[in-house]
Amino acid sequence: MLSRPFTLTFAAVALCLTACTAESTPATDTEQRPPEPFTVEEVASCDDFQKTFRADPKVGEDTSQARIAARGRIIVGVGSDALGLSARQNASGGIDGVEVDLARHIAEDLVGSPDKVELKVVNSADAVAALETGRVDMVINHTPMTCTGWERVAFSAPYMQTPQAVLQRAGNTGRRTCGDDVWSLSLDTVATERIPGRTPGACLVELQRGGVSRIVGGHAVLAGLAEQDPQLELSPGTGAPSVYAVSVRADRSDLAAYISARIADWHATGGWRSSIDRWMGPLGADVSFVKPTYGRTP
Amino acid sequence: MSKPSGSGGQSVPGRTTTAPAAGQQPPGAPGRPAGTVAKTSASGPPASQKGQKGKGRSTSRKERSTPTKLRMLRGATVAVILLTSLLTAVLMFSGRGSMAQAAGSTEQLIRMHHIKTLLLQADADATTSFLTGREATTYVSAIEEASQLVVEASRSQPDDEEQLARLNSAIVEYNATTSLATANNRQNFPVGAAYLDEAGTQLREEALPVVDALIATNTHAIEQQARMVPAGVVFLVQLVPLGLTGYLMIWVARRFKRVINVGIVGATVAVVASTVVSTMATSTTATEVRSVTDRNLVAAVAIADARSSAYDAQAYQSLSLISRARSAEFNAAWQSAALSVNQSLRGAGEQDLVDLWRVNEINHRKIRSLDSDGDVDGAKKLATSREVGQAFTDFSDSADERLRTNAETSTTTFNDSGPRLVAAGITVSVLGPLAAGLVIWGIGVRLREYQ
Repeated sequence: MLSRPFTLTFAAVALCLTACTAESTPATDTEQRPPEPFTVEEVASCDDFQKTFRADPKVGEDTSQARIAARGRIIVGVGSDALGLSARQNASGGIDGVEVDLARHIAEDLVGSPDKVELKVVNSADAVAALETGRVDMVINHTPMTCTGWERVAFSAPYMQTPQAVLQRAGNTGRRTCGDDVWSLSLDTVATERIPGRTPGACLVELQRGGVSRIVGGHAVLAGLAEQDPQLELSPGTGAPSVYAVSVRADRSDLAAYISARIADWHATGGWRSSIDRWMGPLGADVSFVKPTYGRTP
Repeated sequence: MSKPSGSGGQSVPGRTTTAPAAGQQPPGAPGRPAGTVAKTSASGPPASQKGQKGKGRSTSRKERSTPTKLRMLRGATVAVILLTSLLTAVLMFSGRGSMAQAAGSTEQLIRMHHIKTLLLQADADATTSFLTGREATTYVSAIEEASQLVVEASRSQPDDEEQLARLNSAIVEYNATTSLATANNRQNFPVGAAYLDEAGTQLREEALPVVDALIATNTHAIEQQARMVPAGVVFLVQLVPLGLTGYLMIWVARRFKRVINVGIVGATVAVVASTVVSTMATSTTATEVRSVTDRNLVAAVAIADARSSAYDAQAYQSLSLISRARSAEFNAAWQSAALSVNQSLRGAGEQDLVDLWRVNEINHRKIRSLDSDGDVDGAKKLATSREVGQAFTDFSDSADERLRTNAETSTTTFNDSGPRLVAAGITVSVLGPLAAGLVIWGIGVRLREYQ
């Protein structure tokens, strides 16, 4: 059921990457046209990518969430190097951040305890495979809602919105850009020389070692990177803001609807604000809660 | 002293006899060799006989042929003996040089394996310190020792200098990246794990390939140098003077009444002794070298490989618990490294080490089981526990001891064969001229009989 759209999407992305690679080749002929930036809109050309399934707080019977509840713990895919969102803490050895708080909030309602969460680190590139193979129940890894994303997974209501940003050294004029097709939504809009497929931490290593000139991505992610290197400057980027949502397997709309309900009550009860203040506040990250748009049908 | 034999009798049929018969007074001046003057020939016609002048001249030429032949044979035999003894001595000294080079290459090979192990040990320690949050205990000393060994290796084998310079740069770069990883980790910056990943990649993609290339180069060199013990060649070379002195002895015995020519017999004995000494020295060395390269050296290399792979596995075990995003990848790398440990040790017949390694495999399975069950903290606790650490230390220490024993046996064998070859070379150098002198003296005695 998933194979055809997934194949088509993969082909489209592959075509895009091929085009981008061709575009990114430095011009050697003065008459050659400068490479055209590859826009997000060409990848995700739909206008309802924020629309999700109506929130449903019921666990019910014979639902995806009921099966997880029966297991007694939820398995959540998270990142490990996005400071403030989901990052490994040296002192505790565990992973903490806003996204982990959200996972614990979901677990508290679904399996009765915020501690009954098994965190598995997954890269954004491996997220779909992790969901499809059942390695994780859901992925909370600062994944922006996009049209192409909807072809591979199902999204909950958004839990965070953050504008695009650029992280670079003061006075940088280089164009070699590090990012990821998922967490760097604006990568294609600004990059003529792009180094995709890196985690935020790997991009920071590249930037500090001079392999790239800048990193593009959501402000929430880049603020965490900027915190680790005071010589870097965070400036506004271009393009639409990233709207982060929890992703689940494409055929688990019931679970997506359930998580949307949990996000709504997390926000309504002040849990969201508390978590944001704790993790994002010290970083000065520009984040906001976005009102969900319901109405998508399975 | 033997005297020339007379014609007929034991002479070769049809041969022109030039020497007087035994007990017969030569017709010329006493002691003059019969062949030098036609009148002195026992069978030759008197020089005064007319009408036979032409025939007499013809016979005279033939009669002069024995001393000439003696001189020619003497010259040829002496030349062959001297040349072959010189060649044999050169082969011996060259074999000794090859053995010294093989010993040097073996030491370099073991040094390279040690560097590899130290680098992987440092990496394993650095990654484990990320798990424990404590300072790496052996990282600094391992890197320092590896750097010192690189310098030592460069001095020992100047041919490896260029690659060792590249290795040194790679180690410096790896150390810098690991330092960044540690510094970031201390500040609780997640980018520390990314630097640790980067350092591991640098180590495996830049430093270790250089070490592996040097290991391959030195292994090849040892194989080549071990083949440079020319046992067969020396024997064949020595057969030439042996055959020639034997032929000379028989030839002289057939032409003169006295069968035994002390000089030639003495020369033959000297050549036989030279052949025995040189062949024994080279064949013994070749056998020992073959044995040591087939057994001890192979075992040393296999154990060194296993030990490196074991440290590699330990680093991957830690990395799988640190870089959670690449946990599956690192676990697969652990499996591959563990397989390599087993294959190397089984190939070398090191069952004791296989058993010690099995304890580490069991520990790894326990760690993976905890991780798979979601008990990541439990997995980390077990991975950094004293019990798991001790099991690895037991394996590493035993492997180190076995490696050292086999390596020392190899280098000792190579080094010990040097003096043997030198002694044999000196013996041959003495026996050759001695044999040549005896030939000159022995033939000289015969030639004097014609004067």
